Amino acid sequence: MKIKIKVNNPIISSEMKIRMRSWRSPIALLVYIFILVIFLLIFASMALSTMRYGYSSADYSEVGLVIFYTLSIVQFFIIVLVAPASTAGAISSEREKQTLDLLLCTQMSPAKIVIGKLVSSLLWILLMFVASIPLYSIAFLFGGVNPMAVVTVMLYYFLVSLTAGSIGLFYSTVFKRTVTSSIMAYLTIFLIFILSLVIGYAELFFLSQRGVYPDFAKAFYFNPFIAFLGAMSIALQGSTGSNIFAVTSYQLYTLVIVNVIFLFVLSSFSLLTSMKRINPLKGSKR
Amino acid sequence: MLLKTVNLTKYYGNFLALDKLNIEVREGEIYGFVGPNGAGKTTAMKILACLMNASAGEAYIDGISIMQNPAKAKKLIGYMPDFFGVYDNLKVDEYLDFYADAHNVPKGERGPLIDDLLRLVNLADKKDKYVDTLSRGMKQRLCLARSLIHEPKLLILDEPASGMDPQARAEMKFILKALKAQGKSILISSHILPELSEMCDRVCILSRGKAVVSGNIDEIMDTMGRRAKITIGFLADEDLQNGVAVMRTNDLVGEMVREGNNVEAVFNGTDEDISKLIKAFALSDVRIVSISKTVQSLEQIFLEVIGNEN
Repeated sequence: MKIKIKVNNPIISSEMKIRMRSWRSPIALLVYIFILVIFLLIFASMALSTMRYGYSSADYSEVGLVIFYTLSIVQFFIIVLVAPASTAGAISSEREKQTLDLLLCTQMSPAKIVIGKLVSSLLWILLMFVASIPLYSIAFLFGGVNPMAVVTVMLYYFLVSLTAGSIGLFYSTVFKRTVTSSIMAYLTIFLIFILSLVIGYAELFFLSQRGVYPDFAKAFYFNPFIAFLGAMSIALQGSTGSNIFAVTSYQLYTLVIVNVIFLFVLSSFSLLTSMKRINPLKGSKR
Repeated sequence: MLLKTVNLTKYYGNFLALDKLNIEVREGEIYGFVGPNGAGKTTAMKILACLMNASAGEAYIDGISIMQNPAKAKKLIGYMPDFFGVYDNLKVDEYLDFYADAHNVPKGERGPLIDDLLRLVNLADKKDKYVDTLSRGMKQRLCLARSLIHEPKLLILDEPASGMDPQARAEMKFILKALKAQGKSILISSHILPELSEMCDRVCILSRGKAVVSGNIDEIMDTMGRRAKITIGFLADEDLQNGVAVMRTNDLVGEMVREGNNVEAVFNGTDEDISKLIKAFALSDVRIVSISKTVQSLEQIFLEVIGNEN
């Protein structure tokens, strides 16, 4: 009973109710699945066309892997685009609609409001994951993919959506207008992706000038997409016996662990700052 | 005493928005905040609703410090802001259920409570309607029901009748009187002064963040000097000249304005003083044809106080 009380968050149930009543939700879900199917058809047909007569099960596995990678990568970028958008208006739209004060004068703490907003957005993204699972079954038909790989991908999606969603939420507490907070959230996420790549390649370039040729740049550890590919490689090692980066397993694990810690720190900072920002009595108890 | 503020002060940067406000709201009374825009009414109400920190001072509700223990204080306070929005795609009962849940009202109690509140605010027939389809007056009443969902002891209503038509205002007034009859204390701000004077047990006139005068209407009248305006009609011009001379000798008569054979004058005395003035006219052979007295309304006092302050 105690657990039930702690878990109860009115924002989650009302947000889900409001979201699912809108005609936009089923349309968005349909468009999402449609995009995945289009990519899947293109890449699967390309993979199938490369197969020769008398193909072996190894060839089939290649097609299965192509389908898996295609779905996972496309879905990764859709989530990176959707997660900040779904939270960037969480608090700013309450301000725009003049409902934030009504929430803040209830018994709900700022933390509960922020968590409620984030979880309701993540639940929407979770629904997108679940809707895409049947498409993964096509990869299993061809083989080459293990269930652990799908679980790894889903966990990484969760982590990335948590981080991107937290960043969106943070900006929605900073800016009064949803448009501004959305732009800032996308800009920040874009910088995380691009800066880590640019710095990483710069690092490799300068080291090569000194005659040092490392397998991997340290800045890449902070790139969620590279770490996501690394996590998939680890999960698929049992199936394929190889990874997409020419690095050791140790480096691969380090990449994923450092990135997971980085994303957790980023989301924790964003969430804690958001909670502090919407607290109208911050610094009270004089 | 249900609500007490002690030297409540608020600065926005260097701007003093609230200057050592001291008010006391008793149980079961309607207390009015009157003041022009920027007087500090909303600031005071937001501090009392735990939506803003005070720069200095204290506020207690039922003995609980709002500053030290806002979570406990919130249980006792229902707040309705001057401007508020509603959620699209939520029905009236779902809207109230959401806020009931947010106030930790047990699920089993919510249904009957919502029905009671909807009856109180005359929205029982709108229970299954979407909130965004309601008229402004209905939304105001729904917001009032929302502020009552956790059965608070004190209601803080910031301009609850703003933007309403006369019928909706009358309905709101009726509901507030019903709430008072139920023993709720209400702190209300409004620009519609005649309504406030009719409804409130006591009022506080705020100007530039300062409580200029407070008390019940009669006390305020006394504080301000129970001023009235008298209008005297004289028979002829000669009577008017002599009458004005008589009035000038009376200390209770203030500023005079002539209109034809009538004189309108500020009069700071009682009815007995008026009868003495009539006697003085008779002794001076001043022929008067009419005399009438108009007592200053709260609005006139308000304008005078604000005028003096500015």
